[in-house]
Amino acid sequence: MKGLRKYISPFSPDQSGSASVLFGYGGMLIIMDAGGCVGNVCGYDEPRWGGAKSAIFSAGLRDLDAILGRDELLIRKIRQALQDMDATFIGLIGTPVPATIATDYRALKRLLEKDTGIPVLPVETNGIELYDKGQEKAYQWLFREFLDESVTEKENRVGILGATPLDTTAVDSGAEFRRLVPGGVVYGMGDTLEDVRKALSAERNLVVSPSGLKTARMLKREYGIPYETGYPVEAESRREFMERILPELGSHILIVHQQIFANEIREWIREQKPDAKVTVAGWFRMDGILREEGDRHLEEESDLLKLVRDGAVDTVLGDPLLKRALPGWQGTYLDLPHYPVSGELHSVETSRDYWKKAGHRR
Amino acid sequence: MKNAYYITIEELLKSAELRIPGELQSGEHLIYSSPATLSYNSPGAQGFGVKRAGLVIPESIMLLIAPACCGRNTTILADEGGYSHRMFFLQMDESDIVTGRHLSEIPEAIEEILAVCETKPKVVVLCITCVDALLGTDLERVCRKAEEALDGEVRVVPTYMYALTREGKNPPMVAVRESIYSLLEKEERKMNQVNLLGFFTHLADDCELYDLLGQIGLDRVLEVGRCETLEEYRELGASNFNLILNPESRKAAFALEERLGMPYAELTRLYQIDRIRRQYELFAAALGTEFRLEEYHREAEQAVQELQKVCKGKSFVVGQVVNGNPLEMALALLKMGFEVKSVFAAITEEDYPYIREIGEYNPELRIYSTLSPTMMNYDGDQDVDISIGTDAAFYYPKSVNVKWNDEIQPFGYRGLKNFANEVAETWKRAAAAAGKAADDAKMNETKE
Repeated sequence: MKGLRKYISPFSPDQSGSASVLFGYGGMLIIMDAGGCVGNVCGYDEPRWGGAKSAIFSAGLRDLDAILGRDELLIRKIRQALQDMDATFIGLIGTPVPATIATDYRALKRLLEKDTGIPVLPVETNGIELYDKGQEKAYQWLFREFLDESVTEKENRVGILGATPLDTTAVDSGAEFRRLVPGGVVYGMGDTLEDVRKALSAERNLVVSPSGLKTARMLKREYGIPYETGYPVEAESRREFMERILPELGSHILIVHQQIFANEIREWIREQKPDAKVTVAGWFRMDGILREEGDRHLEEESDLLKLVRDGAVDTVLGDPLLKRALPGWQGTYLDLPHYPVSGELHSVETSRDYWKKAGHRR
Repeated sequence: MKNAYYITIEELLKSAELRIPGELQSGEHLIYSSPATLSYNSPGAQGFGVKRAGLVIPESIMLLIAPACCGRNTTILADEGGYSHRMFFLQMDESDIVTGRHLSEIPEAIEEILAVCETKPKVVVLCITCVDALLGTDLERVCRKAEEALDGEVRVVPTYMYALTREGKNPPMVAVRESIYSLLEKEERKMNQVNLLGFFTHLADDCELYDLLGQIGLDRVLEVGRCETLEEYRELGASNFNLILNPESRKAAFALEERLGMPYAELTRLYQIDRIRRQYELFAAALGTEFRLEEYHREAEQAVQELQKVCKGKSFVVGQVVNGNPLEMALALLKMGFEVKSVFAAITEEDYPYIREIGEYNPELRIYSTLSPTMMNYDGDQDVDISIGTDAAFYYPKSVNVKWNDEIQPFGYRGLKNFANEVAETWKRAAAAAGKAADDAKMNETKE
């Protein structure tokens, strides 16, 4: 049945994705909710939250706000809170409540910018779509608002898009990318708004998850900055991981993760096991250009079991929780944790730890 | 930039109308999200939220009908709490919001779920969220329809995770308590039986309340948190009366009185020893009897004396995430002779009797609201020896912390005794560890 989840719980929603992109830029992030969504975003989808003082607020919407559309009350609350903190921008992050009452985010942006003089990024998420959609929208607003078009001089920079703790192996992945990619600036993980302003000085962009593709393509289309896709991993981690999984792999391997990460692992497997059939699938965005024949975008929970059975898949690499959606399947299941699926249940502190933990048989 | 907002008891009492300042009312400002607020800002974020609470009905499962985001934390909480096999989700999409189509699919969804349950449930708890609150969904009707469609195979119970109504007349944690008891039916009254309402688990086994009720012939004390089967749960419908131990279950008690003719009485969880005695005496008098309290009183008194000895001269702070009213606990500690510097609380008008009395002991005591946006700027300018509550530990990381937030509930004299013992023991352990650390440091210095 459409939308029914019998074995696995919901994945990180779009609102968490947009918060993860904007988290580190010193803005005031306002989750447009009654209080429940902010608990989910902060407590369960943002591993950086507990370790840093971050300006994430709930709009504290109440039934009367929803019925009467009391935008002026929200503006007053924001103005009041701004007396107590410095914010480089105000991020308004949507949830199901404003989506249901059709909140006019553009109007809120105009009113708030006029009132406070601070840029407003209205990210119209709705709590229904998945995290990568929210990330995509947040990147779009971030670059639309802060990109400095007058920057023409190229520097030895590589812009890295699509990296937040939701798409990567650990909270230190930003630092790992900077080590592995000379001149790497990781948007959303350890950079600043100044780096976003200077985005046109990059010689190229590297997209590590599909949520960064739309912005990378916009930067190529409008400013001529080329991009490529891929997921950089330290050679030692890759070697250890491949040594672990190779003896376990069968003839039809399914990788379930964010697409670019999964594609990367597919290439590693192909290098060492060229005869194996390797399919990539997932509930998150599957970009058409990056998709190979046989790759699948999953809609429903039951699609995974159907794909595995119909495709005679004998090995699955995926988040440990997803195995529950394969009742009765007897193949080999190898762990490949993904934060938007299992959150902190299978998260680790460092990327190094991730690769030590990944690839074990479940 | 302002410092974190607080108000002293003296300032609070000075205001002529005894009005709660806007800074302490969550509806008046943006709500700051910090790890200290996770337990209560978001209904269901930790501990017993609506989802886990609804599953207190024995032999039940829950179907959460909502946008995906509403069930996200369940991934973690249900796994950690061991109830993930009882949680199911019907994720809404945009067209469901417009057409309400998802509501007509619920019987079919339940059938699919029942087909995969290893143990067949007897109750399906449906839970809806803010979106359906706005759409005006009649969940009771949906439940009735589902029961009909399933030929009475299971009972279907409505619950509401409406964060939007948190400060209203029927906030989520009040509403869910009413839902939990909604399956009780009128049974033949058993005069020796009483229900304890208020908690999703149960009182500590050593709580004197069981014995005291037994002393007056109420030897069957029932709690939903102790029921393992639906049959056991149904026995609650035969009780003589309900005893409310948490104000959030008042509405449930009112509903049971109206529906089953079951009367109720209310006791408050207290940590002031004199008030504990007084409350029991008044309760017994109202029932035309007396309790034998002396042994329990003496035990608690001894524990308090030991705490006073062990923690003499120490300062306290009391947080909001505790098994108790933080202001009442602060008052109890003040009466024991301790210094209490701050309290984190969402104060209500019902707290004013405590506030007035605290004013007699320490008018400088600060009240903070962890939800205030100004808590971003909290600078920890106070040195405190002992913090009570998980949230207080967040703000006083150097203090010795006693969480006092177990799921098994403390109450009465034994609650006070166990609290005093736990604080004293925790302090002794911390002091011993600090002493050892100091000795080690001295030894290292000598070696060097």
